[in-house]
This record gives sequence, structure tokens and C-alpha cells, in this order.
Amino acid sequence: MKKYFKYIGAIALVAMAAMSLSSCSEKGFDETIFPDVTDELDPSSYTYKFDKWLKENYLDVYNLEFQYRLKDTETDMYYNLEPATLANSIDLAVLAKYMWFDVYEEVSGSKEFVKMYGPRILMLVGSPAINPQSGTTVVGLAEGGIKVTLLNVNAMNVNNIYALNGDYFHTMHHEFSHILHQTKSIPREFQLLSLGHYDASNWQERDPRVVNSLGFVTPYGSSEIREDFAETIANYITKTDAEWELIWRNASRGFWTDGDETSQDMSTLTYYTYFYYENNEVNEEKRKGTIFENIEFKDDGTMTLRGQSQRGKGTSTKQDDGTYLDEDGKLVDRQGFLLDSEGHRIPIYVYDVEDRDGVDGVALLTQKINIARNWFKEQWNIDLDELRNAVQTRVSNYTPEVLESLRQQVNNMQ
Amino acid sequence: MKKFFYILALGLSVSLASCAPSEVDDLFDENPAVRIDNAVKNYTELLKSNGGRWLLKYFPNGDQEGYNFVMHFKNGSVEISSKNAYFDFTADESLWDVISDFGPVLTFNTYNEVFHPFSDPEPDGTGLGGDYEFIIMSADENTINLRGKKTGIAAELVRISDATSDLDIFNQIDAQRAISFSSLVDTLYLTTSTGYQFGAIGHNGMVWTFFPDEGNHASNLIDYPEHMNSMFTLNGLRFMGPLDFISEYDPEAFIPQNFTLQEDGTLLAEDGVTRISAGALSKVFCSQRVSFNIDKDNMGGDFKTLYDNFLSGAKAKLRRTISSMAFTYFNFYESKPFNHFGLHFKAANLNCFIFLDYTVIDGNTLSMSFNPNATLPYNDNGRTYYGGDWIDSNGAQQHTDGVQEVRDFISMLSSRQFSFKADNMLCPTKLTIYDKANPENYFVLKMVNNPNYIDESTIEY
Repeated sequence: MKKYFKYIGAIALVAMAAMSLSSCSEKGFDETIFPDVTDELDPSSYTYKFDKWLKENYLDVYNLEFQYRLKDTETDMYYNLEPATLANSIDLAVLAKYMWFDVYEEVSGSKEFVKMYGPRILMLVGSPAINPQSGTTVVGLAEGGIKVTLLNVNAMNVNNIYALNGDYFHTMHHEFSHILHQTKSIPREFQLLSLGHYDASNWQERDPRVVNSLGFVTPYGSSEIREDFAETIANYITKTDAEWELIWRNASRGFWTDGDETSQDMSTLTYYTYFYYENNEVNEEKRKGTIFENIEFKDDGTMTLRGQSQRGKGTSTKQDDGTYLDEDGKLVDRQGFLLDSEGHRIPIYVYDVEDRDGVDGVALLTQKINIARNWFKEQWNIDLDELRNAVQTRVSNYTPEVLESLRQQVNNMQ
Repeated sequence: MKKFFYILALGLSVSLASCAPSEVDDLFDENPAVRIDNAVKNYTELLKSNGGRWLLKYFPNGDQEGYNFVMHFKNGSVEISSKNAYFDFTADESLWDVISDFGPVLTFNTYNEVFHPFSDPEPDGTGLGGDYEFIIMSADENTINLRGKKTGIAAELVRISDATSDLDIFNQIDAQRAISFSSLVDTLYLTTSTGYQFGAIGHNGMVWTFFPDEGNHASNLIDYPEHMNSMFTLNGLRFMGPLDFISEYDPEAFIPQNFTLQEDGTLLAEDGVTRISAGALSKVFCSQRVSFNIDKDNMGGDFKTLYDNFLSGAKAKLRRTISSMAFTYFNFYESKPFNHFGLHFKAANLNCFIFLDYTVIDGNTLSMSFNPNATLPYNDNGRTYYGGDWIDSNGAQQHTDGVQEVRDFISMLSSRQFSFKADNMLCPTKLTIYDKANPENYFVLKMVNNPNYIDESTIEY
């Protein structure tokens, strides 16, 4: 009897499976439920010329969608954002091509490099992204190598190419660097250079000059290795010679503060690079002044405050021989300034703050740039210096007429 | 064994059930993707149709007044104009679109210098907090109901014709607002469809605070700020949402949101009954913040006779020409209460105040009586005399006791019942006070801010 049940059970199971499956196979796939969407542009549309220019210069060439019409679902909904103006969107579209895409084409020899590795979406936002809780501001974002978002577009000043380069194109170079190192990783030797000096949580409170002396180009670069790499590349490309000169100078200096560097709010700290000395003692009051532009570098290697001399102590007393002595008996003139043995006023000497951070900022920055230079050449066959020169040439040649001619490309679309 | 058959039966029934026809009648003719695509196309065409000119009624947040925008929708672009507390009349052109997002969404997706300042996050990350993307909730040929995507605040587009220029539309709205509210009336009254009454303050700033009209309003303020801010539109007053706090006090009452301005000045809700007005005129007459100046050129009956006699008597016996006379509150630093009601009249070197008590008999009836027991304040170097203690030899008695015409005038005030008419029932600027027994006897009173009123709560005795 048990045997029969066994057979009955087996037959019943097969029948159930057959019935279940046959009930599923009745219907095939229907046509898509989504309506046909045409990508044809409407010639009567208000933005036809601009949209056509974008299609021909970004979508068709780089497979990149230039999103200038803001959709808040495309943004981080935590932030309150507003759209970019149409006029600024047009200017930024033509300038981004001129200052970024065309430069890569010029240096790499074709459009393929950016088409292969460049972002797929470039999105514009009119306002900055301000965190309502912390008050910090974001001016650019990159998401997974796919989308680069440029913010604060409504504040764009097309007459200041340095600001444009520093704000928007720097952001694009920065984000593109991330895309590239996500494809071919950051060299290990770069990753080891600044270990122990990154500060992921308080980087925004760090003094830009102090991080230079630690071997970072910017405070953001001092937040973590990947940002250090992207900032090194982006700033190397976009910063002018004069701006780099300042970075090198800061990198070579020491900095001193009378604040608490271990405090939570480092943004309140003031750093000094020079001390004033008077009678070979630190003048607590004067050393807080901004004296950089008053420094006079002497041939003997000393530094003095331009045109300023040391004063004697207390009230001076006239001697029988017609000379004057201060309260310590040191020789002074009638105005109370200390005199040397030859009767010349003794200048106020100024001394560098000792660089005690244990980091050779110049050497570190040099190494980082060299690593980035080699990485670009070996991994991407791009000459980083050539790229920098191409950008800087366009920056220095930029005039309002250049922008006007770029705008005409849009206006001339048929 | 039984267990085996139970499992077998259950398996068979499941299999058979799966063979059953699974057809379900479609609720809609089209699938969702096609329907939303059609909705996007239809709303796009609706916005552009018949000239494409609409008035947007918009609240950026729940804490301030709402704003009007005239929007002219074209093929891809929209011209937006406005005139409001932030800027004079301005127009700007930008882009718009209807997209499929949370259903069909109307978006203003490039910056417009008229509209987007209300959604500008600067300087604190929030700004005014307004929306620029709106879910289209419903629409007919002339009205589109919207809901802000982030704030959830309702907005409304109403079709307008090309007959009036944008600037004229805003001037019409401004004019309506100018004649609707006045600093002279600090409390308005909302009377519900069942007759229940709420007091309201804050309307001059367009953010209202309501309270049941049952006594001390300070302790009864209703905390519904999200529905209390309002705006004037072409049709009248619109609150950000329905005034649903009413149902907590008056469950049967109609819940209003929009009010239209009536010829008598009141604001009437959609139900034709619920109304906002300055309230009972006898209460208006008792306002401490307002002086009611007797218009010497606009009076009648024995009121005029007694008034003229008052002036001639003063001229003959006091050698003074009375320059003004008003029913008003007057402040006295040395007294409690601080502000006193009475008749105030002035002449050269004479600043005289006669204490009066009043009794509100009903909403439009009031009586007054001379108060001989009111405390007499100080005498200000002989220049200012107060007639509170008329019987005494001090104060105004010196000037008025001997003037029979003044005594006659006060006697008249103390012996009649008075009723009122207003030139506007929401924002009155003139009250006519008349003898209830004989309306031929009347004064017209010009309402002005009371220069002698001081908020007692600010005084340290």
C-alpha cells in the first residue's frame, strides 16, 4: 500500500508542476508600454540653437549630456538649489568646450580620450549647495565618474577668466582626475607621501598656507589621498605661475600661531610667518601684525622692517658730551632710537618662524607633481606640462572677443 | 497518511488556482506610461493655449505672505513678472517645462530673476525656501491646482486675459490691499457660517493670528501658522490653506480659504456667508489706538446746534477758539489705567480732557456718561487741564464749569444712546455717530492714529 502511495504522490507532483508551468506560458512579451520618444529638436523651440549646438558639440562628439535645465531629482535633495540662468549656461557651455574639452583634444591628439573617459553628464546648478546645518558650501560634485555637477553658475563672472578657471574648470579637472584614477589607480608611492598628515574631518578649517608647508596644494587636498591626488593635478593645470610661486613660498616656510592647534575650531587660528625682534626679544605685540610686504631682504641675509628702527628703553637722557642714553645706558639719538657704534639707527630685525612641522613642503609638492606627471604620461600618454601650458595659454589669451566669438557659434546654428 | 493527502490536496488546489484566468479589468484605457505622457502633453498645451497668460498665486513658505506672478507661457519660454515687497515691477524670461516626475510636474528649470529669488538658498542654505517645481494636481480650462514638490504648499494658476497689462494687474492688487487693511483697525473679526466669531490680528503683515472672540485674546491665540499667512490676488484675499482650525470651535461651520472683497468693504468667503470685517462698530469706536476727530463741516441736527454753542460759549467766556474736538483715549502717567476715554478739545493754551465712561449696549449701540469720579491727574503748569473731577474746583472746572454750553454738550453725550455707520466695514476711515432715537442728529468722525495712545504694557509705574 505504501508503494502505491509513493507512485500516486510522484504522479501528483509531476501533474502539479506541469499545470503550474503551463499556466505561466500562456502569455508572451507584449510591446513596450512606454511611448516612443523622439530625440529630434523642435526648430520652433526657444532654445533650439543652443540645444542643437550642445547636441553637435557634446552629445554627438563626447556622448555627453549637458544638463542646463535643472531637475531636482537629479540633485542631492538635502540641498536647496536653484537653476542656472540660460545666458550663463550658454557661456559656460562654450567656455567649458574651449577651456577643457578642446584642450584635451589638443594635447591628446583626438576627441577619443575624453569620449572614452570623460563624464557622461555635465549638470549646471545656479546656486551653491549650502549645508543648512554646517553652513559649508559645495561648488562641484562628481558621481561615480558619470556625472559632474558645476554649482554657483549664476555667480559666474565671464570677465574674470582666472576666477572661471579656478572655480569651474578647476572643478572639471579635479573631477576628471577622480574618473581617471578610478580607472587606473593612484601610484602607491604617492599614497605613502603624506600619510599621517591628512585630516578628513577638519580639513576645511586648515589654513591654506599651513597645508602648503605640509606639502598639500589646498586644504581640501589635505583631507585624504584621493583628494590630494585630484587637487595636485587640477591645481597644477589651472593655477598661474604667480599662484604657484605663492604656493612654493608657503611650502618653504614655517608658521606659528598662539592659538590652540588641537582645538575643534581651527578656523579661528591666526598663523604668522615672521617674528619682530626688538633688542633681541620677541615683541609680543608687533609680531601679530601683517608685515609681509614690509620686509626688506638685505645682502647679508638678514631681514629688516622697511624704514623702521629699534627704539631705546624709557626716557633718554642728554649727556654732557651732547649724546643721549636710554634707561639701560644704550646710545640713542634725540628721538630715542638706538644707534650703532657708527651712529646709525639700528633697524628692526625680522626673523623667519622656524619650520617645525617636520615636513619639507617643497620637496613633497615636487614629488607629488612628478608622480602625477609620470602617471599621466605612462598611463594615459598625456603630457601634463603640455596640458598645463595649453590651459595657461588659453587663459592668458582670453579676451571678451574670444567669448563673443564662442557665443556666435551658438547664434549661428541653423 | 492523512498528512500526505492534505499536502496533496493543497498542492492541487494551488496548481488549479494558478490555471484560472488572471484577467483583471483595466481601470484605465491606456497603460500608466502612456497616460502620464498624454498628461504631460495636455498640460503643456493647456498652459500655452488661449494666449498662455496665467496668474500664479504662490506661497514660498508658511511664515510670510504669498505673492502673485503673471506668467506668459510660450513654446519653451515663460515671461514672468511681479511686483512685491522685494522689488518693484520687474519681468524676466526663462524656460519652463512639464515633465513626468511625481506625476506631471510643472518646472521652471532655468533661473528667472523674478521668480527664483524665492527659492534661492543663500545665505543660510534655505533662504525663503520656495519651490520652483510643482506637481500638477488637477486642472480645468481656466484653473490649474499645483503643489510644491519640496514644501507641499498649494499654489494656483488662474487664466487671465490679455486685456490688462501686467503692471496694471499688480496695481489693481495693490489698490485692493490698500483699501482693505488699515493700521487704524488692529483687530478684525471672522464670522463663520453659523455665526461663531473669531478675532484676528496681524492682517496688516498678511500673517494672521486668530482667537475665539471670548475674552482675553492673548491667552486664546490659535496656533495654526501654516494656514494663517495670506495674500491679496485679483479676486480678493487668499489664505495659504483652508482655515480648518474653525472646525475645532465650530464643527458645523464652512471652512473657507478664499475671500472676495465686497462693496461694503467686507471680505466674503466662497460660501457667501462666512465674512471678515472690522466687527461691531461700537467696538471700533472704543479702540484705544484711534482718535475720532469730530468733522466740524459734517454734522447735523441738535448735535450741530450743541457743538456750535460749545464753540461760541468757549469763545465768549474762555476767550478761546476751539480748534479741534475728538473722542479719544488719552494717557496719564500718574494714573491707572494708563489710558482714559473721553472728549478732548484744544484751543490756544488750552488742552482739555473730559472723562467719559461708555457702555456697549450691543454691537451697534453705545451710551456715554460723564465721569465725575475719575481721578484728576496733575496740572501741567497751568497749560493743561483735565476735566475729570468737574465738580471740584480744580482742573477743567476752572474753564468749563462756568461755560453752560460746555455743560449742555456733556449732558447731551450723557443722556443719549448712539449708533454708528462706517464708510467701510473692513477698513473704516470715517464713522458716523448718530442719535439712535433720531438719526438726524449726527457727527461724522474722522479716524486717525491716536497720538496720545501709549501701549500700557510698555509702561513701568
